[in-house]
Amino acid sequence: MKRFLIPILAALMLLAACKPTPESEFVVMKDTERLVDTVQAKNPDETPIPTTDETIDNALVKTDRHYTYSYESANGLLHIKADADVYLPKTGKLPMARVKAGVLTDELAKAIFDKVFAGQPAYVDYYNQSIPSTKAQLAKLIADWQELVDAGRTETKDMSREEALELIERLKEQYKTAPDEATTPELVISDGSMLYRERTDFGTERWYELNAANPDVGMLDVRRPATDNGGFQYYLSYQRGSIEDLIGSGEDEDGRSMDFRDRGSYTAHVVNVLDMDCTFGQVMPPATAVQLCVDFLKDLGVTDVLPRPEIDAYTLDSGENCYYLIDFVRTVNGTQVAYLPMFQGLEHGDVALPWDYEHLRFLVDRDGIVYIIWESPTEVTKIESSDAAVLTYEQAIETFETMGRIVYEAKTEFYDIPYYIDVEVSRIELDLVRIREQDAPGRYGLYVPAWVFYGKKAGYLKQPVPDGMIDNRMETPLLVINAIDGSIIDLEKGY
Amino acid sequence: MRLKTKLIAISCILLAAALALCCVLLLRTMREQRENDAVTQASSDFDANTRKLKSIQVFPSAQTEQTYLIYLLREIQTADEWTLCIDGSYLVNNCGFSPEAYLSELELAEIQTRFITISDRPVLLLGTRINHTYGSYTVCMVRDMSALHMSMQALTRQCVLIGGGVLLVFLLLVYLLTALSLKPVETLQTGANAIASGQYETRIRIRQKDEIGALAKDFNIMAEAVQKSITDLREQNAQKQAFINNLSHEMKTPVTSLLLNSDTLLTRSISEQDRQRMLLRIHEQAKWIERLSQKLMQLVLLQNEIILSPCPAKDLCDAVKETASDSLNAANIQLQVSCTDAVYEGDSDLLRSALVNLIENAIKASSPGSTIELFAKEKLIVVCDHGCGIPKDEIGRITEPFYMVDRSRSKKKGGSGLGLALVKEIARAHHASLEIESEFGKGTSVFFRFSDAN
Repeated sequence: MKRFLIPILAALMLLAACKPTPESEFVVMKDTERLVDTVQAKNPDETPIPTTDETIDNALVKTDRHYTYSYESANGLLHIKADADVYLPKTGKLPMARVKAGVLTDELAKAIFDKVFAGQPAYVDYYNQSIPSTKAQLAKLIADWQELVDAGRTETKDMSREEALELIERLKEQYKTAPDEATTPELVISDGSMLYRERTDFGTERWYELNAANPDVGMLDVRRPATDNGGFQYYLSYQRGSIEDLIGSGEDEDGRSMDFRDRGSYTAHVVNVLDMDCTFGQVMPPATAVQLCVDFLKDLGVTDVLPRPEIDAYTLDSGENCYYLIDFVRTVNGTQVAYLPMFQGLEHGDVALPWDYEHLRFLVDRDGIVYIIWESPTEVTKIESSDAAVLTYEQAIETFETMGRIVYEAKTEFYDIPYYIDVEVSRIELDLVRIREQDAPGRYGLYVPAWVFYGKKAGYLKQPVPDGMIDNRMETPLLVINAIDGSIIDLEKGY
Repeated sequence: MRLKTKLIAISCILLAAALALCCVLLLRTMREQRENDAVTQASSDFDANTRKLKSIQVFPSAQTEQTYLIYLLREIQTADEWTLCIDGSYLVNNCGFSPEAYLSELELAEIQTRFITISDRPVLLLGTRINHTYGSYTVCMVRDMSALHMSMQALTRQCVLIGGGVLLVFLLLVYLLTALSLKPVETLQTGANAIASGQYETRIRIRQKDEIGALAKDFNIMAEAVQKSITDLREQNAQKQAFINNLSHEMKTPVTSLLLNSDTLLTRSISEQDRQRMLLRIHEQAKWIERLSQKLMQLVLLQNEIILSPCPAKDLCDAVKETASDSLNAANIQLQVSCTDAVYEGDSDLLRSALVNLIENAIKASSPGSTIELFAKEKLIVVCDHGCGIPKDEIGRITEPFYMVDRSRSKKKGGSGLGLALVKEIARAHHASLEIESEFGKGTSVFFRFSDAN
């Protein structure tokens, strides 16, 4: 038996030891690394940038270029127009930097907490407590809703008239047993520290949160994920006053509702940074409003952001108040990052936007800061190039005129139904745009110089009846061209 | 190695080999099939996506042409699988290595396919060349086949586990069945050991109706035969021992007498009368020893096969009558012979010797003036006397060598105790039986009965 076993075992061992010879690898850089390498290899001085005038415009300089263009597709479904000024970085330099999802640190959260509550007590999870509304509070709610019903404006609160009436009946029932005085729950006074939270309704989410409120002061909510790789986003919001103050918002002349504090009719304006000294807003000039926000951020040590050159102002027709929506953009060595708050991350095959684009917005009225929203902050970790060689303006225009048609013509097919698209370019900027980095699990990316064509687009179906008007009246990036390699950046994919 | 272990080991090795072969073939077939499916799918994807890349459009510059191609690649669902290269420089590559290096010089309208391993990761490469206005581009797709590889590994692990499980269960079953099947063999072995150690009464209780059952039956027959043989041998051995003991005893008397008498003659002065007496005594003892040795010799010779030949009863009776006449006359006893024309198959000398012995015994048992009858007919010879007879309890032993009913009387009359033993041996040699009927005080009849085969 042994005579057979030994040869068999020897044969098995030989077979197991045999493996195919591994291939030698011809390593090359991936796209992101190649971009960085290209930037570092080229001398930026060789790349001409159009001469500019000396007009200062925050981070941007308006050039003497003005671009006009018109195109209609052969089938008539696509119209592209351009009537745009061209803006370049004031610094004259286009850096390239590695970034990661910024951390709303415990220290920053505490600093904001100290600033907004200014020594007054703030209670942990104040609005998450089950505090029964008093008779007075309910009476106010009932009156507010009745007013909306009477004015026929329940749709502004996404309710039909019938639903609003049902809500009023429920509130009236609740009123019968409501306490006269506010009952004080066992509230915990917050010390401004972030607490660990967990939720397992759809998978497990873990995060840290500072949620504190004082109805006489405001409410603050700061969140950061517990790990770098989760889907949870960094988030900060501050609301002055109490949650009830949100009720009774107004709307502008186009019928869009505004989460403002004063009911009534508003008129929307766009205030250009050049007009900051205007007396447009009687209550508070826009420059003051902007400075208020800048000072707020400076006190927190946040200095690498700048307000966008154009802010939205909403003046109450009565003149009693004026609200300013001020968006800030991040800067790298003084060069601004493109304003992209409306794009949400998509999952597209192997591609996913690691985290949403940064959005920092203030709302300021006559009494000061009404609210702050800061989502998905971004932190620069390394400057790969302080001044990258970029595509010329002419090259950018050429690419726009070639690719704009291709990109938007593809969108005119909507389940075999003709879909009309109108694109209007009103502004061209050379900004920084964040793209994702390959092979970097977690939230990492690159700020790369990009030609951003801003404007408005509208899409609609004409058959069977004009319907589905999808209208984007806000300025959005219509086409983004990577100024390093000339590729089109898909903002929803993040590269 | 024990048979059970050998059977189990061989069964398990064969099953393991069969399972391994089946698994290898199955896994190989599955792997090939899945690889083919993967290649087909990949080729289909590659073809579908490169079709768009191949569509010719006119661009104002190389930059915009490349921007367009990059845009098309990034629109693909699995964009990271694709590379785009012109003049050795990559426009798109998120694989981390150069797929063109593993493919032969790519040609237009040709799609190359190859499996390679990169960083311990199996990948499928597809590549082709496309021409546009501003250059010739190589387009490659790098499809990670790790999932296929891992699924095959998982499947292999499953096969190994299942095969191992089946082998274990099989091992257990084979062990039980083998133990059950070989238990009768062990029983046989135990029985054989018992018999070898002297327990000849051991028998195997196996009631199977198969070969083992037949073997057990044969074993029991063999054990029966062995036991009988051993018993017979023991009996024969005991008889021989008894024979030797008796012989020694019988020899001792005359030898002692010879020694005594001769010693006296040699050492003492005795009278002539005593001398003669002693010499006569010596002569008588020597004659007795001679008769004894003759009969012993006959007994020994009777162990061999005798040659049978026709012996007419009449001739036999006449020969017997003549041989015994002196003894008859000396004892004053009549012999009455009655014989037929029967013919016996035998040795006439031995038959005569047997009948002479019977007649001499009858003479010793009879009184003077009595008659001894000799009957010889078909297959039967009878010798009857009317002498003293034999006690019933001694009839069974009188054919034993050296056994004498009345030792002293027999010796006085010259008996050695071997006569009837000799007759019995002669009967045995003739396939005949010896029956003795006797009534004490009345007489004895000895029947020499030939068998039907004789």
